[in-house]
Amino acid sequence: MHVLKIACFALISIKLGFTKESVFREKAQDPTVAQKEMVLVKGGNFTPFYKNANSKTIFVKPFYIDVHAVTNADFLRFVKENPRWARSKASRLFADAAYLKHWASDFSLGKDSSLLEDAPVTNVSWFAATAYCKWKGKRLPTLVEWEFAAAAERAGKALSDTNSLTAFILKWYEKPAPRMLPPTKSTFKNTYGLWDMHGLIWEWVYDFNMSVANSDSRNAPVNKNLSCVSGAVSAANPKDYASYMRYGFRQSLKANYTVANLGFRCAQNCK
Amino acid sequence: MKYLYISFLFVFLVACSNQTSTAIEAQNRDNTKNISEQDSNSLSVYQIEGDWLTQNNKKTTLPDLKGKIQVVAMIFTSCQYACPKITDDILAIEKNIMPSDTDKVGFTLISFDVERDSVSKLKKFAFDKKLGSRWTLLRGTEEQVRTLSMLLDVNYEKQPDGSFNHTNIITILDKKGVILYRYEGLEIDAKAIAKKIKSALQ
Repeated sequence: MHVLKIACFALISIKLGFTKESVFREKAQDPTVAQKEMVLVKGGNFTPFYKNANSKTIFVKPFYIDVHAVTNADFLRFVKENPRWARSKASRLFADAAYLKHWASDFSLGKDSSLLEDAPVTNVSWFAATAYCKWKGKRLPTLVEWEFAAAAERAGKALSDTNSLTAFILKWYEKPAPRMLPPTKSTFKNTYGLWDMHGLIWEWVYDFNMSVANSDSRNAPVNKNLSCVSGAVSAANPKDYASYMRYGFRQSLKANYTVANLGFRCAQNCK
Repeated sequence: MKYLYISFLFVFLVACSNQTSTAIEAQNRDNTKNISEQDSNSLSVYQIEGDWLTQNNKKTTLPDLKGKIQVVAMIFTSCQYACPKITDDILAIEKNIMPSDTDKVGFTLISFDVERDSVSKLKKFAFDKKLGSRWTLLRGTEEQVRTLSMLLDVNYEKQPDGSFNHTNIITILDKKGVILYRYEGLEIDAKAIAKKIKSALQ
């Protein structure tokens, strides 16, 4: 296990030495420091939720992912070092008007800061999340990686059956978002050692803009009807339903949108 | 009951989002009026950094597209139906642009297919479709292409067979790279779009 990890570090360091010119300008920090707060998710075969019957199994390569979502305190450090991501400075192209609206000002969390510090940062756009991860020498997890990691059961006390995780998720979906989000590590840890994959916030993924509801490159109207019908069918299956909600939510997003209960965590390649 | 309610909501949302794929003008932003210099820099999609390669194997950056109104779409060259069609649509727009304006308008296609759309594939596509010297076909890294898709609001997903599912969007960018208009779907009105481009040039 340790050997694997060391090999991974080495490979990543080599890789970072040759990174191509990046889309965002944030300088990457030392990745080995960052990796302390990550766990290795061994890959495997995964069948993601899809709207139609031809669900396909995908092989997910091993990857590192943050143990918990990025907090307000983490994000404040990023903004201070990269002031172009401050609330008043960020271009509307990259973050809408509600970007970091729960902060007191550009560089202050305000009077609730003691409560906010450890809570997951939300009201952040995909671009801001991407820039943060880049600054950390990381990247956003792909949709498939996130779903793969999130499908793991609760650690320790095993749940009675597989539907329990779904029941937990659906119960969370029903509740309105609290005015003040609880801190990270406040829901449950899954078998990979990841906290709060469900029950705290929604999370950005790298390729959230996959065309799901409108997926055919020919824009064939037939397929659109099918997607509606099968949507109703999968809604009948509560297990798929939790995923369906996530896919539906992602479908409704644009990369500069910010949402009060949408945050992120970062991932990193291994290999 | 709650599930039922929420699922209705979703079916409704999905139904709504499908409506947009008929050729309507998605005026998500009215950028045609008095944008200050600073705004126009911060709203430019040309802020994506990094090098791209053209169909002529020339290294280029997005800011190199500045100075002309650009008609932009994302495609992949092995696409069977939608991409040739969207290219034809843009060719139709080109035909409708006044001869006096042709040097003020550029046409740019960006490939989703970072693995297979080599420079020579882009070159061949340009040749087969008779795309003239005003056309730029670009290949970039996966990350560049994904980021650009976010800015142009184009959804895409790679399929196991190597093809791509994607939404069909033609975007008109002003001389600095700010989105002027977006047209979604495959039934566009080339004349009307050419008219919009003409008025944007004035």
